[in-house]
Amino acid sequence: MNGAMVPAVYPLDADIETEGYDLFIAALGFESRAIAVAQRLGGEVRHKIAWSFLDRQELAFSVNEEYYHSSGFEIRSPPDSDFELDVQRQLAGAEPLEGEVYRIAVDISSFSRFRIASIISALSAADLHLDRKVDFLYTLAQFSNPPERAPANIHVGPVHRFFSGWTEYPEDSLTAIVGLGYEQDRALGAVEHLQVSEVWAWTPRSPIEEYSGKLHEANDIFLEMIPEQRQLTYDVLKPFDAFVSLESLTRQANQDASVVLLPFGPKIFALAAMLVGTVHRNVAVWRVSAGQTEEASDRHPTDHVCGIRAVFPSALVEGRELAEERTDTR
Amino acid sequence: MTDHSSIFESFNARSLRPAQVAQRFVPPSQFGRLTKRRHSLVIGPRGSGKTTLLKMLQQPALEQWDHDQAAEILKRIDYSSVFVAADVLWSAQLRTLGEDRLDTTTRRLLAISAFTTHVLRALITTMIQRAHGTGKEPLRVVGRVQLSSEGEGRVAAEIADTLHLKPRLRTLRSIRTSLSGRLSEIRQLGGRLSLLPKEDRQSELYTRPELHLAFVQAAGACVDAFEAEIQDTPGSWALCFDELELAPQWIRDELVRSIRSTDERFLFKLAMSPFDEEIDQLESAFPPSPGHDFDPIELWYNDRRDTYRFCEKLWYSMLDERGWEKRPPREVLGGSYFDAPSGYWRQVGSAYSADSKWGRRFASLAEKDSTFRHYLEKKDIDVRRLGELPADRRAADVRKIAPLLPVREFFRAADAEYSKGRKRTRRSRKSRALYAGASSLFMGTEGNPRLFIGLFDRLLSTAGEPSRISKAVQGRELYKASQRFAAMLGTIPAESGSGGGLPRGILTLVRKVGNHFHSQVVEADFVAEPPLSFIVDSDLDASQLRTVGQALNAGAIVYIPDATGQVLLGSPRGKRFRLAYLLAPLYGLPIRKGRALSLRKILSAASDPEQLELT
Repeated sequence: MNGAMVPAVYPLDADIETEGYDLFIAALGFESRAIAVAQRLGGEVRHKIAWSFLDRQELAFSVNEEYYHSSGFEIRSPPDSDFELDVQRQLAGAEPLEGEVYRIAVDISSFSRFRIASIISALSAADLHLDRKVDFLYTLAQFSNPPERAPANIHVGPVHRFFSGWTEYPEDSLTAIVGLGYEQDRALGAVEHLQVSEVWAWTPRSPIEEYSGKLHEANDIFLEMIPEQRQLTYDVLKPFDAFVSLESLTRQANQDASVVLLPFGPKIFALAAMLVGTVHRNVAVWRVSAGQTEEASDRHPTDHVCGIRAVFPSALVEGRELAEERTDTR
Repeated sequence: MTDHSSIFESFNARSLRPAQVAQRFVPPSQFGRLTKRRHSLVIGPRGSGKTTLLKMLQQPALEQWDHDQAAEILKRIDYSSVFVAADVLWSAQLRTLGEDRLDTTTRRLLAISAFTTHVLRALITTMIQRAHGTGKEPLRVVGRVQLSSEGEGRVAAEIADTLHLKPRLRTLRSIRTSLSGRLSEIRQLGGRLSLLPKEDRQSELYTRPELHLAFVQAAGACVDAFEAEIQDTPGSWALCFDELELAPQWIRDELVRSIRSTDERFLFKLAMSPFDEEIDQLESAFPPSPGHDFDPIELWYNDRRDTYRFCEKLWYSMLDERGWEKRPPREVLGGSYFDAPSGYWRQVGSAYSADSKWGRRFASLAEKDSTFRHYLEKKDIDVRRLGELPADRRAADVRKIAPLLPVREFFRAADAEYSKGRKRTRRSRKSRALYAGASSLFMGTEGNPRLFIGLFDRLLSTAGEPSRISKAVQGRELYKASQRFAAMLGTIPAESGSGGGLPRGILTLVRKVGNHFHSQVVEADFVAEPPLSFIVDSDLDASQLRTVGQALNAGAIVYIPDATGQVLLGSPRGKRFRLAYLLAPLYGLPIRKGRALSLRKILSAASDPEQLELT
């Protein structure tokens, strides 16, 4: 045991308009889509928490705050440095409404990647006393143009310490598995910075066609450098399929190289990458971010909501055999 | 022809085994200095070949290296080299060991233990190669020893005892496997410790002697055991540490401590970037006394001719690798717009006749640029009679400015157009051809092997076996290389702005400098010596200074040494730099050094850099 539990991942077969949860987690930020899932939840939800960002409280922030207040949400406002601890505290004291499984829904749409990773890290802690069945939900945003010029990055590294990965062979070659987004040359810069030897590129497919053109424009040099057989696609609205394919590729690549996942683009792919990172604990998941200097952009929701389910087992349940984490097989 | 699946594999020594590195290795002049039996500091920006040179000291590389200089160089290498790899990912993993749940002391202990394990495993790998070979038929044997299986058993037992290992078999390979397993255990231990109360962690840690090994002492004990069995004259071992600037401070402290321990069997060959704020600490590890001082080896070229010579060697090596005819680079790539006329023509003056390339260029610019006409008038130069000027005047007044003309001619809108409201700088894809030609492409790579091979692999792959590669193709590929380089620079995390201001990364610095120089070369009134380098003012704030240092280490700027001859910089204050020539196509700059300007002046004069950048 290493202090973290390996989740089992499933397709989301719940109807969020009727499903009940013990805990619903949402983000309070500047995006209009932050409340889209909350507005659709129809089943009983015992406890609702909206974790607020402390910066860029502009655009749709006030509207969202008002909504959460009036809808029975507890609003919590820890800084990033205390965020995971706050989540852990909420999970530690939890009791399920029925049975011995704590049912949680997390709307990741407007959370930062760091906070999504922190939530997964908190859920993976082995010292929680209940199994946690977590539905991660995501609202696809309407198209908006990418920023004309991105501010300087302040973070280039693991999305969270939990996803640093580990290698027993630092001298080995490095493979990057990259999810593409439409920030100009972000993927290219990251793989050059890491000095990778091999690259796999994942391009999202979504019903919003405008994304595709912008994405290819932002990555034209990068895609030119990668052989076609290493360019793959995934359906944004089928995250479980993306997870399965990504996990399979990661497992294969990890057999003779160190692997780093760079999930730019839609956060649902970043979530899939982080779930792969919980299964393959030696694989790193990185982010490249300008942090609070990134311009706030109000992302409006579409009607498309998708999700993925993960069950995080408790190590403290009597008689349970612990799932072994995957490590290097070389 | 080398078969690469993608450009990322084209030449990154990081991922190549030493024998693979040897296949393409073209020795720079600095390699001979590195092979000497001395401590060495190999200094250069990213891609300059540090990893390649260290890997070339390894037995598998030396055994496979097919080159006419190999025999001569090998005579100097009478030690065994141990390569200790590092990279951005591994460094990040060492820093985050323990996932934020452990106290600093514990995390540091685990990180140092992981590093020590990594070093010892590299040492054991070298021993295996000496005893059992490298699995490939060698061109020559280097450093081989006789080690019976009984002897190996005794060595393995001794080493296992020293390092607190329990290998499955009494072999060196099993020792190495155990050390790999230990790396995994260290990480898992970090996870378990995070669940324990603090008071229980200490007892867990201090009952594990394997976590408290000092790598030089442990390595010394391993070497003792090995050399006792091989019945060979005790030799030296070169511990080669790559990418030292990436190592967490704890690791560097440990390394400095170890170097000072002065086990004379060990040479240290360290690779690092030219800027390091803690350079004093590292230099203190090598006191200036015989046998202990170090040899700094810089991997850049201050003289264009040296850059060209080295690039030419790489060029021929790449043609040879493809089995192609060894055509001179100028024959395939042509001359460069920035080449001054050759010596012969310089004397005869024909290169400047009215119908010569240069004569026409002068005339063309004089026609469209009144400030250039004014310069010529002041110097009493008639563009129709350039060839009639005395040789000394041609050198002083004409040859000096010749490389500026193509840039000004390509980018500057004619006075007549400008007066109609057109912008002063024209943007055109045709301007990319300006940077074609052998010397421009060579200078663009700065003699940096990774850049060179990355660029020319694509160029030669695109062209097939060429008799000539068009300027348009060359310009396009160099421009893409520039864009890739800029994308990488833009990724490197920025320093926080001073006084809580916005972070300003390398790319912001480069843009401001590049755009300012462009405005001086192209848009301002013509001068014979526009600024094309800068001096770092002593009163810049700490974050700006660190950004300059980062830019140096990334290869975005190039240090122009002063009289001190210093090659390792603890601070860029007072030092002179120029932009990397690879950035010239992005900012419309000539490929040459120019006079220096204060960086502060550039930063305060720069308007919004986004408005001026060429696309």
